[in-house]
Amino acid sequence: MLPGRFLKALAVVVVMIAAAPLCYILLRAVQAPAAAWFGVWNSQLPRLFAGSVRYAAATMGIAALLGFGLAWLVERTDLPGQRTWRWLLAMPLAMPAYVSALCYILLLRRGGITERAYMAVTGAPLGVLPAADIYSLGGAALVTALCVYPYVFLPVSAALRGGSRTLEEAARMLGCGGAGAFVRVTLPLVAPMLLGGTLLVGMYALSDFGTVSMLRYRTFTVAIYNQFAGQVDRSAAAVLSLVLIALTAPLLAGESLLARRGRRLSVGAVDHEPAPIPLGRGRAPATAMVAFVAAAALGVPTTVLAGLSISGWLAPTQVDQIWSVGSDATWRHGLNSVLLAAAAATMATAAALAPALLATRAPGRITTLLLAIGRSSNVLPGMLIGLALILLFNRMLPLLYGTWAALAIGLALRLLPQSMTTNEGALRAASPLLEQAACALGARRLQIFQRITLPVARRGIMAGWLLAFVAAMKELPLAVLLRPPGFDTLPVRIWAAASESVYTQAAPAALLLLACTAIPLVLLTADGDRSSIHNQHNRHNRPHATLENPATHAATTPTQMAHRRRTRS
Amino acid sequence: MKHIALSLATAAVVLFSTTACASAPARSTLVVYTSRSESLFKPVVDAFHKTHPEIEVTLLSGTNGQLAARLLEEASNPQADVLVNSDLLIMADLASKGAFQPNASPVVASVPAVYRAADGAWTALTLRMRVLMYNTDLVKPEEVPQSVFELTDPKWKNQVGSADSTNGALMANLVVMRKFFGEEKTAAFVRGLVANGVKFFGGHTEVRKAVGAGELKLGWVNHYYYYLSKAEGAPVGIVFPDQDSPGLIVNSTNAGIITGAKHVQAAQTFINFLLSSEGQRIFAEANFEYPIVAGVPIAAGVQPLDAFKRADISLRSMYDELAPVRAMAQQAGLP
Repeated sequence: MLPGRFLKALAVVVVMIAAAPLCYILLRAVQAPAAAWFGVWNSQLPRLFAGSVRYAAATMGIAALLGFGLAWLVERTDLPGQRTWRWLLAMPLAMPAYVSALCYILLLRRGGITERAYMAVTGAPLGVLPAADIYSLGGAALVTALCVYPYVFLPVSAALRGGSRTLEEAARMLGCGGAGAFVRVTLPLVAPMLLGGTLLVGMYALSDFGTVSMLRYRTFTVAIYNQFAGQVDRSAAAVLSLVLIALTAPLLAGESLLARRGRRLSVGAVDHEPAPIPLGRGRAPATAMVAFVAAAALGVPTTVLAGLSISGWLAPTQVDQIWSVGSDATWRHGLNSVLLAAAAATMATAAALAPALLATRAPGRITTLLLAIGRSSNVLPGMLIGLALILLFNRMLPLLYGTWAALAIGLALRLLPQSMTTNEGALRAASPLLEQAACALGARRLQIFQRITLPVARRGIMAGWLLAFVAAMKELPLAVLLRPPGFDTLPVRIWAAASESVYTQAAPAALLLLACTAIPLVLLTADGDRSSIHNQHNRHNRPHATLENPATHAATTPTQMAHRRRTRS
Repeated sequence: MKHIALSLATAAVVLFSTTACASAPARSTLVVYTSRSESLFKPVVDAFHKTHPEIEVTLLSGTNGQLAARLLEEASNPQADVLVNSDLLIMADLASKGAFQPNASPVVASVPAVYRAADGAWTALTLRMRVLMYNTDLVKPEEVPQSVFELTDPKWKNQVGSADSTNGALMANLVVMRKFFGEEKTAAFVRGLVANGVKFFGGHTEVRKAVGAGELKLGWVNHYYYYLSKAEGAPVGIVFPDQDSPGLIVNSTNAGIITGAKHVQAAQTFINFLLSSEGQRIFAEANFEYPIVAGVPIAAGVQPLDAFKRADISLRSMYDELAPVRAMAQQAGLP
C-alpha cells in the first residue's frame, strides 16, 4: 500500500509540530542578547559543563556494567531463577529515579533512618556514625544507574538470547575457547545493543531533573530551572538550553545510528537451547549479587516508602494532617496522573501512526529526513519542552494555556519520538505483500489499513502505548511547569512534598505512582514472553514468513521496544 | 479490533471529557498563586473557606521568581486572581510592571504606608527577619556566629545550609548587604560561602530540617523556621545576627490582585480576610510571623520585633537592584 497524499501531508504536519519546541528554543537562544551569552559563559558554563558530563559519564559507566553483567548472568549461565530475574530485573523501569533518590536520602543522610537506628541500638550520639555522602556525584550516579540500567539490560539480554548463540557455537566448534568465543564473537555482536543502551542512559542522565535536584548535584537542567524559577528574563535559560541540546545531540545521533545497525544485526531464531555456562562455585555469590542489585533498585525504596506511608498514617504529625486534608487527595492526584498519561499516550500513539506508516511503506530520502526532524525533539529534556510550550501557548494559543490539555499536549510531544519508533516497529510486522494483495483485490487504502495493517500491528501498537503511558506517568518537569492551578499529578505532589521535607506525605503518592507504572510493565513482560514463544513457533512452521523483512521480529518484541523507549524524570 | 483508530479516538475523547469534568475549576473559584509553603498556607485557606463557603480557593505553588515570571508571561492572558508571595522586592518589581490592580479596600489602607502600594495594589501581610539557627547538640551557644560574615569561616566548612538564588528572601538579604557593604565585599562574601562548602537548597524548609536532623550545624534562614523546628521538638537554637551593623534584615509576605483577574470581588474578600485579625492570628500562631496589623498578638515565645536593632532601609524602592545583585551572586558561584 503506497501512502496517499493525505497521509504524507499528515506526516509532515505531525513532524512539524514535533519539531516546534526545539525550533522555538533555538530561536530564543540565537536572539538572546550578547550580554546573556557572556554572563552565562563566564559565571556558570564551565562548571555546569563539567558537572553534567561527569554525571552522565558516571551513570553510563555504572549502568553499562550493571546491565551487561546482569544480562550475561541471567541469559548465559546456570543462575537459578532465570525466568524470575528476567522480569524482575527489568522492573526498575517502573521506578522513577527521583523516588529512589528520595528513599536513599531518607535512609543514608545524617540523622536519617540508618543513623537513628544505629543511635537507638548503640546509644551513640548524633554525628558519630560516618555518613555516606549521598549528596555527591557518586550518590547521584549510583541512584540514577540503579533505575535506568534496564535500558542496557533489556537489549543486551535480547541479543544474548538471540542469534549470537549459534555463531558462538560455530566459533567454538572451529576451535575457539570459551573466553575466545566471548571476546571475538559475543562481545562484537552485543556491542551495538550495549552501546545503544548506554547512550540512552546518557541521554536520560542529561535530561534528568528530579534526581539531581533532590541530590543537590548541579547539572544543566537544574541550572536552567533555577534561571527560570529565579528570574523573569529568559535569555540565560535559553542560552543554557542550547548548550544542553548541543551536548545531547551527539548521543541521539549515535543512538539512532546504532539502533539502525542493531536492528540489522539482531537477527536470527534460536533453533535449540545451547547448554548454559556452569557457574560452579560462583553460583551462590553470583545469585547473591543479582539479588543485591534487585534489592537496591526495588526492595529498599519500596520498603522505605511503605514504612513512611504507614508511619504517616498511624502517627500523623500536624503537618501530615494539613497535607492530607481530605485523605482522598492522593487518589485524586492519582486519577489526574492516570487520565493525563492515558490522554498523552493516546495522542502520541495516534499522531505517530502517520510518520511511522510513511517510514515503513515509503522509505526514501524525504522520509528519512522527515523522521530525523520528528525525532530531533528527543534532545529536548521535558523541562525544555515545558519552557518552550509555556511561551508558545501564551503567544499563539492563549485559550489552551493554563488548561490540563496544554499539559497533555506537552506530554504527547515529549512522547512522540518514542511512539514513532514503537509504531514503526509494530507496523513492520504487517507484511506489505498482504497489503498489496488486498490492493490488487480492489480494497481502498483506508480499508486495507483497517482490515490488514492494524490487526497485525495491533499488539505492537498497544505495547508502544503502554510504554508511552508509563513514561508519561513518571514525567516530572513538564508537569511542574505546565500544570494548571488545582491540577497536580503524582510526580508533582512527590516533588512538592519532598521539597518541603514532608516525606511522610510524599511516600503514599510515590507508592501509588509505582503501582501505576509497574502494572503496565508487568503486562508488557508477560505479553513479551508469550509473543516471542508464539513467533518462534511460527518461524518453525512457516520459514518464509521472515523473508520479506528479517528485522521484523527483533524490532517488534516489547523487549526491543523497551530498548527504544525513553523516559525521564 | 477493526476500528482501532476509531476506538483510540473515542478513548481520547472520553478521557478528555472526564479529565475536564474532574478538574475544571468551577466559576466561583479563586485562583491564588503562592510562594508560601503549602503546610503554612493551607490552614489560612481552610479558615477562609469556613467563613466564605461560597468561594473555592485553588492554589498553585511555586517559588517567588517562578510565579513572578509566570504572571508576566501570562499578562495578556491572566490565569490567576491573587498573588501571595514572600518577597517585598519582587512584589514591588511586579507592581512597577503593572501586574497588580489598585485595591481601594479600607482594610488595605490601614496597613502602614511603607508596607503597601499607595493605591493598595499590593499590601504586606506579615513581617519576618533573617536569622541564623543552629543544632544545639552539635554547636555550643558560645561558639555560635554572631554575624553572617562568620559563615565563611573554615571552622564551619560543609556545615552551613542556606537557600539558593531562586529564593527571594536570600536575594533580598543580599540586596541589603550590597547597599551597606558595597559590591566588592558582598561578592567576596558569596564567594566565601561557596568556597566554604555551604549547602544551598531550593527552600528554607530543607535547611531547617537538615539543621534539626543534625545533617548540618548552622542554617541561614527566616526567623520562623527556627520556631517551626523548635515546635517540632528539634534541638535548635537561634541567633539574631549583626546587631551592631547593619541590624536585622526584615522582609514581608505580600498579597496583590492581578491585573485582569476574573474574580476581583472574591480576591478583595480574600485579601481582606488575610488582613483580618483571624487571618493574621493564623500567620502569627501557626507560623510564628509578625502580623502587619497592629493589635494582633505575636505567638507565645516569639521575641517582639522591637527588641532588636533593624537595618535602617526600605526594600520597596530597591527592586531594580535585584537584577544586578543576582548577576553578581551567580557570577560569584551562588547556585
